[in-house]
Amino acid sequence: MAFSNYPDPLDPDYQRHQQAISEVEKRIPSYLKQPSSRQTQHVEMYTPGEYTAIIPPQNRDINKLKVELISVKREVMELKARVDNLTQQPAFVTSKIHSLPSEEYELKAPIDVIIEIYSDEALAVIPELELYGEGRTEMDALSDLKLELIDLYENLVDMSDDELGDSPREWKKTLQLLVVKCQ
Amino acid sequence: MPITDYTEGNIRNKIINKVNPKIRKGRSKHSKGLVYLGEKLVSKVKIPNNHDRIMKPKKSQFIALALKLDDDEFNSLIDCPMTGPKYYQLLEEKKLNIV
Repeated sequence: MAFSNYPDPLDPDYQRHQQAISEVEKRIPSYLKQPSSRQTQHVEMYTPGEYTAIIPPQNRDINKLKVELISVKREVMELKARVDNLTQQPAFVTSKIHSLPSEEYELKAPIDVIIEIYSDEALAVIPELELYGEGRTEMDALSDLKLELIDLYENLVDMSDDELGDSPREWKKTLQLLVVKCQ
Repeated sequence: MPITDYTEGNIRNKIINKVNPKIRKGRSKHSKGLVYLGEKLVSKVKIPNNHDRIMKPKKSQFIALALKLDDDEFNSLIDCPMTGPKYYQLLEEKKLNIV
């Protein structure tokens, strides 16, 4: 049924048409309502006097897309968090130190070292001695570690075992196996 | 609870002021703090420099290990609930494992 541009408000068919439009508008979720009344243009009459209101297909598609978009956004955020976490994890390599930067001390045997490489720093670690060196690069970290080793040796070697707790006593014992003072 | 992010300067200040170790300057770029319980040396700790940058979690863990503290105890030491005397009281309680 088509109405002229100036329908008669007293026309019963027109009144029934307006009532059907109201029923459609009540069933549309508020977040889908458009400023204009475009949704209500699809009121169809199947039989004389009967009106069936339907929700336009494009609004159902928009709703489905919105839900999918929210799901995709959530996945992207989770993936971003995982990537951030992975980039903060260091790379691990093993190495050995064979000598010390001093004419006073020598190593009796190479010492195993674990190097942790971060984006902005490296740590070189001897776990048994609870010792680590640090630097901008792996080489700097190893150089620092060698100096830390010498410092620890010099701090402990002249102390008697009675003056040392469990851990320092073990470190001293290990250092005496690894380091020799040159005559 | 894992170790919180602290600046190197903050950790340095708390070690020096609360733990009050015997400080030794050696050949490496960081000073060392020697931690005594009574007359016995029980640990050594590397004293961070006075930087504003956040200490890497691994380095904080090394320091916590050196101070014989777990993560929560270390947070408490740096965040102020744990005072210097409380730290040494805690070391005394752990004495059997460290001396």
